[in-house]
Amino acid sequence: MPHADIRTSTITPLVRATPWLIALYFIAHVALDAVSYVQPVLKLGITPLSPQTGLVLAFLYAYRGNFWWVAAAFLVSEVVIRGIPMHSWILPLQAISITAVYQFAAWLLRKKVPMEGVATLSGTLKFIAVASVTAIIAGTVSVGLYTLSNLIPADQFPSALARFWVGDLNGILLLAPLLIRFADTPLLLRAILSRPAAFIGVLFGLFAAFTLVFLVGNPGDLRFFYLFFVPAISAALIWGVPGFLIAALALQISLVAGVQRLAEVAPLVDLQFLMSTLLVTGLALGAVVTERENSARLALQREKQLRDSESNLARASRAATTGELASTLAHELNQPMTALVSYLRASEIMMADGGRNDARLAPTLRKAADEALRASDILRRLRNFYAGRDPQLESLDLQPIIEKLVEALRRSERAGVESIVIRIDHDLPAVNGDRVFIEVILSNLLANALDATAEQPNAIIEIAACRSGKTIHLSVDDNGRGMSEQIRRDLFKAFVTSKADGLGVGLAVSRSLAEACGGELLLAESSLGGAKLELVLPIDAVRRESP
Amino acid sequence: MKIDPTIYLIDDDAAIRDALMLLLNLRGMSAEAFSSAEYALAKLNRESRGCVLTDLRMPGMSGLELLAEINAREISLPVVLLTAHGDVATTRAALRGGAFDFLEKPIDEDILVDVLTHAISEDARGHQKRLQTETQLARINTLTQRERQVLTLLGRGLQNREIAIELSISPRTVEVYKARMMEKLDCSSIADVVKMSLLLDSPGHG
Repeated sequence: MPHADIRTSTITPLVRATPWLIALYFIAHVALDAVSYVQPVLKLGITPLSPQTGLVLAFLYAYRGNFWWVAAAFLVSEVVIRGIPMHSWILPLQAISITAVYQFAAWLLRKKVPMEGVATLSGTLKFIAVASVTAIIAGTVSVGLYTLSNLIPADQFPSALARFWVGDLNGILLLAPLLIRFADTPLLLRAILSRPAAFIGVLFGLFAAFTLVFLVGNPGDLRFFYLFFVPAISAALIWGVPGFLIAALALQISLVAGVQRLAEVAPLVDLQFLMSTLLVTGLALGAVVTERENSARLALQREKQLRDSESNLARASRAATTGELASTLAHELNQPMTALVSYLRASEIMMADGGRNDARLAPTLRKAADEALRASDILRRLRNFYAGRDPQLESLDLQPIIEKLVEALRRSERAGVESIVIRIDHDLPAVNGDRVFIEVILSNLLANALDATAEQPNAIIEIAACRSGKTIHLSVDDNGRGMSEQIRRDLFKAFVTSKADGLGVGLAVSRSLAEACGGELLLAESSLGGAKLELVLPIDAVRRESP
Repeated sequence: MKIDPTIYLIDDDAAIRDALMLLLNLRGMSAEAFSSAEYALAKLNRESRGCVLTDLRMPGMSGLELLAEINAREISLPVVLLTAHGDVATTRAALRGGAFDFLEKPIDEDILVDVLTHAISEDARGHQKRLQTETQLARINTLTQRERQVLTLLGRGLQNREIAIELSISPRTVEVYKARMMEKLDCSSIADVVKMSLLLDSPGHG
């Protein structure tokens, strides 16, 4: 379900308002002031309801260079609505000083507590603090000026200040965030309407509370005010800060309407203090809800990104492996094919030679057949690998596997096989691994060693298996030509390792097979002067524990 | 000293070496096989005649590196590269590096022999040309200072009279130098002389 995402939108830059917007502000300011001119103190602009303060703060927060317009709006309101004659310097001074206070508050919010922060608890609490202080200062200045000019008796200063303060505070808390995040309204409405049952519930709750407070029993009995908490807090819990603010706006409007209806019966100022409590509670609670929702969504987003990047990585590495294998396949197969084709063409020439080369024909054809077998061997091994099955780990004794492999080599009359020496610890524990994987790795290592020692007069290839801690090291060492520094460095890359006589799929594949078995394939220091590769496999844990 | 053209075959795969050697010998071509580029380089020198047929991808020095090394050592043998892949980038690099040709494995025998024959005759032609140039340079080196000046000026298209003015000698003396110079260089026409004069400025000179 779409939620009003009031967190991810960026802080809008401070711009100049268009003339239309300034005109709109001006009218709205005066209109709000007129509407909220209820239960004033001595016909002055001191009411417990000042929604225009929220508008002023939002306007100064979002647009720059409107100081004089705002001051003018304050002044015009005083003169037009309350009909206070412009007989003294008090009114302009009051308008200018209040505007200055709000301008400072707007600057402070923008610098320190951007409205985007009202989605978090700490940001919301800071916002409430700024709003309270702003209302106190504005109230002190304003009421102070009235008192100094004897428009208010000095003994009424505290109560007038309280009214002024609570009116301004509620106006700021309620309207400023809503107006500043006005752009999010469609998103917010969609979020609210996406849960129609909750919407109707909250609406009904507001209506019921209103009925109880203003229509049933003692009209204006404040004991019932807490009933408003139920729908308002519900809205905060369901939709977070924005949902709560809309519910609170509805509540504020109904409060004013209710009070207007009851005329002098209920003191609006008391209601407004209750309203302040509700606003602070609801904002803080809503912020907690919004913060939690946002962090949950963020976590979900991160998780999804992570999943995506992981699967991308897997796909990329799979593609790389496949590409590498395809290239290796082409190279590996082309070697025997080239030899095979050449042997066959040579045989053809010999046969056309009229008997002069008959003696060489048979061995040549035999070699051609060997090359065909070599090609099919490569294909078989590649097919095994391409099957891409998961390793089937089981408890394995290495000795029979090694002996079987060497025996197979012997039967194939592979040159150099007589130089193979096997040295296995007599009490070698079983390893945990995949039989086929280990066979492929070992035959690759042996093929390598046989290649490397092919031109060596006293070739030695040593297969050794010994225990080392919780692992078994199966190594193939030789006294062949060894490896250059560059080859050592790039050893496990498929291209580099793909050598001639049937390395098969390369050390890169052998290493990945070793890792699939939970082991590793390492280049070790040869003790025979050639190259030594070591397959490290974990000892089978179950078998190790039993005697 | 006359050296028979040889195909220097370099491949790390023993079976391929064996098969290609057999095939080339049957086709009457003389060839020598090496299991690595390093071994082949130990044998090759500027006097080597024939061509190089090398695998591209080998442990140790690759075919491309061998090609660069042959160029660096000013060994004039044409190099034919063998590869398992029709890899465009490698092909381009090889041809830019001065490879004579490029063959894909498995090789069609007729194309192989055709390319190798071409390479060998290219090498022979180049060698012949170099020999000729060397002879001519040797002859130029026997010229005296004056004869060399006359050769240079004739090469620029100057007449005897103009040469005489340029060198501040009489036209008759120019005639003498010219006759001696043409005799030493074994030139029978002015066209030959102009050709010889080009060698004076050629980078191969000396």
